[in-house]
Amino acid sequence: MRHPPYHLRPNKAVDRFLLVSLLNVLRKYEGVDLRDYTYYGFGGPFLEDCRLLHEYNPEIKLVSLEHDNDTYKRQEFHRFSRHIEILNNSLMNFLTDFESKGRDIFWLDFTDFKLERFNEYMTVLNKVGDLSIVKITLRAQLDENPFKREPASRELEKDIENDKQNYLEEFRAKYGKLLRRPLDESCFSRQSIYLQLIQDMLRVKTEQALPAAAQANVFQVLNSSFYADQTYMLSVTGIVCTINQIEIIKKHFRSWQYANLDWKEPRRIDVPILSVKERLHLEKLLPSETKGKDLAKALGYEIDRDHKESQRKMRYYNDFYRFYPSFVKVIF
Amino acid sequence: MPEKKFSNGNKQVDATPVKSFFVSMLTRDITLPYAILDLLDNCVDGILRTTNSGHGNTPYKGFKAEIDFDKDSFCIHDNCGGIPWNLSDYAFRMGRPAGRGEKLIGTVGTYGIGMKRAIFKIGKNCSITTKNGKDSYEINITPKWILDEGDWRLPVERAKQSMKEDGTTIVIDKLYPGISAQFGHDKASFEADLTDKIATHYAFIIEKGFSVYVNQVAVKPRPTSLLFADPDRKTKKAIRPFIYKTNVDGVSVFLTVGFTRPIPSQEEVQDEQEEKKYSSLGAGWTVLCNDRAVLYCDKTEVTGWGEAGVPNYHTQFIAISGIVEFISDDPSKLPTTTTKRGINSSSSLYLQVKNKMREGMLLFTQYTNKWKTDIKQSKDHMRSGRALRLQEIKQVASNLSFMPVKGVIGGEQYKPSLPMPKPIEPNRIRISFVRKKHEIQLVGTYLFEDAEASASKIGERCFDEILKEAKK
Repeated sequence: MRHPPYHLRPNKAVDRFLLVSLLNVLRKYEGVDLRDYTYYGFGGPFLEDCRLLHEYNPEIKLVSLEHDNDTYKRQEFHRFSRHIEILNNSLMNFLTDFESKGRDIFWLDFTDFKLERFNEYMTVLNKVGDLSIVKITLRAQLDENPFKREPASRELEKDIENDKQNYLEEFRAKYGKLLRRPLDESCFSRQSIYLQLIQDMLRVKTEQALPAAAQANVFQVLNSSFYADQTYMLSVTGIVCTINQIEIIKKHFRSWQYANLDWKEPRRIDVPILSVKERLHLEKLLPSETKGKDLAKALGYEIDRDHKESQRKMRYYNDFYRFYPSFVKVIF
Repeated sequence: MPEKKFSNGNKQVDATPVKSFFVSMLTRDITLPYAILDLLDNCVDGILRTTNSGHGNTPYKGFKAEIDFDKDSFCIHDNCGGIPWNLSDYAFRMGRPAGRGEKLIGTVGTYGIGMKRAIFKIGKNCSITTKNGKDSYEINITPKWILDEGDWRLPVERAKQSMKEDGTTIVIDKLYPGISAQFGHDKASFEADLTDKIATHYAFIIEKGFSVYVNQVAVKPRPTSLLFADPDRKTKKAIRPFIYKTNVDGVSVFLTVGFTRPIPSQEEVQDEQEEKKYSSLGAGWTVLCNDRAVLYCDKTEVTGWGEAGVPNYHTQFIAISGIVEFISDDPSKLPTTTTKRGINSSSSLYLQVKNKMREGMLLFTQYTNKWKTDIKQSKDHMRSGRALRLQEIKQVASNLSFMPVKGVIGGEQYKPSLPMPKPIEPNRIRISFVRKKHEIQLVGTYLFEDAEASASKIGERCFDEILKEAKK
């Protein structure tokens, strides 16, 4: 089975660190002991997420789920601890028998976008106990579609118009019950609106899974981020709690730099590719007092296609520099 | 029952209604989105009073309703003519008083409970402000009034705020906790649910010009469209819908059933069953009473599925959809329930029409069964079909040859001649086998550079390639 080189993707690495950062905040919440938590993730061939979690929070029990037999064997090869449980099982099979033993941290780190992903997400939300953390990542790339196509002639214009209607109908047929607002052209012609659409769909599914009206557990969103190492991905993380805990949880997480407690626009993660030498040079200026402007200046050259873009990237670097991964070449 | 002796000496029991029956019991019969649709029904009734007609292509143009809600309050505001003072007794009485003289064209309300039931469902405190010409007044329903069993009168006041247009504004607060949760924490999913209900149940009214906004976002209609091959030509064998129409005792009936899309492949059927790909949302029967959908995409015995030779609904029938429209100036003749979101299955008119629904549906279930092994050919039949909406089908129908129908409700029908396959050649054999998913994906990538290519497409190509080799 082929895998993208997740372990070499800086924005993905930041997204992983965001979970670690969130758990650091959660740790201080009254009544929380991370020893009660079990992490369930799709470690991929190198178990990157599990490795990171284990490094920062060794008290958390780890379970990796992998349905592909060869990847499972590869995970066993990369096992870094006796304590991690590596299961050769699909998510739905696993969830069928899953009984929460304490508190859970699920990261549904999907690489695609399908209706069944929403249903798996719903199943997880319904299975975990209170103060559990659920994070879901979905592909949010606006693919080639009729709304992005320019007609070359008048005849083609009619064809494209038909294609547009069919595209909308197809999307509605699949995801109709998750659409908060009517679909329109902008949903499929602008990446930012498409991201918002997917976040809204996740919100609707979340509320369908844990409706406040049921007076049981609900889901409080804590973070929403998107990034594009090559493909746009959206990650939403939240905590399952009772409705009475919401205000206390919001208060607890409000000061967390990366908090999104009201399903606002997802935060962009777009860190620049910097060499170790460049990072060391910038270290003394961090955290920046000028939202990264001084960082861009300190290098004395542009790191992206123009000044504006370079400054923008430096702003993200300032936001996430603590989570910036180090890729080191080791020669044996 | 306890017996009481009144001052006049007669023995009687107390049969006066109690408010809690209306506030706590009647409200259980209806879900929140449908209660809000009841409020929209009142808006449309207001338009019909104002224009005195529901006819034409866009009788509702220029009229709108704006629905806004959050965890603390609910508001519906319309410009649909308001409630005339002479109708205020009817509008605010619990139930419809007998002998109400006024005749309303095209409404669906017959019981006089929709608006009140919706209000009681949502919250304890409500103000209704309305303007109709010179009449401009306000009525408040308070928690105190709800608790007072002895007081059935509602004080009327002059409207505190003047409204620019004739219309009605209903503001409800002191929401019940479950409602507040749906409008607040569950706002996104409730917006999705309500918008979906309005887009489907009000599709035909919105298409005819009415505008509905949910939290400032306009709802787009989602009417059913049926494939109609060569609507402008006389074609012998073609994919066209079955159509039946009649007029019985002041109720005009128009029925059409057909395909909304090509019939599904076995893979699509399986995906649908596993909820992977399609949802059966668009399949089944929609029943309209005076433009409102009282049933939407029903797939049960209520609409004839699984009865009299028609198979039970199954995902392989995902492409079959039908619409029945009942129109009457007298809403009591329409086959609907008190909630206006269901069918009165014992209505003799509906039972007669249901025979025609089954008859039409059978054509398309049989077509599906006969062609399900040759989806490719069937798709070719569908390709020439244009998706026509109800109004367009009605227009096209005027050029078709209808046959008279004998029976109690009479009428006439157009029965399409659908293409039927030749009997399967005896030397043709179906191949079917199972392989590991990742292996199929591997072959899909090898053959088509597409790991998601359909299994049947991959299987066919593999066979064809080897056949070529074998023939060399």
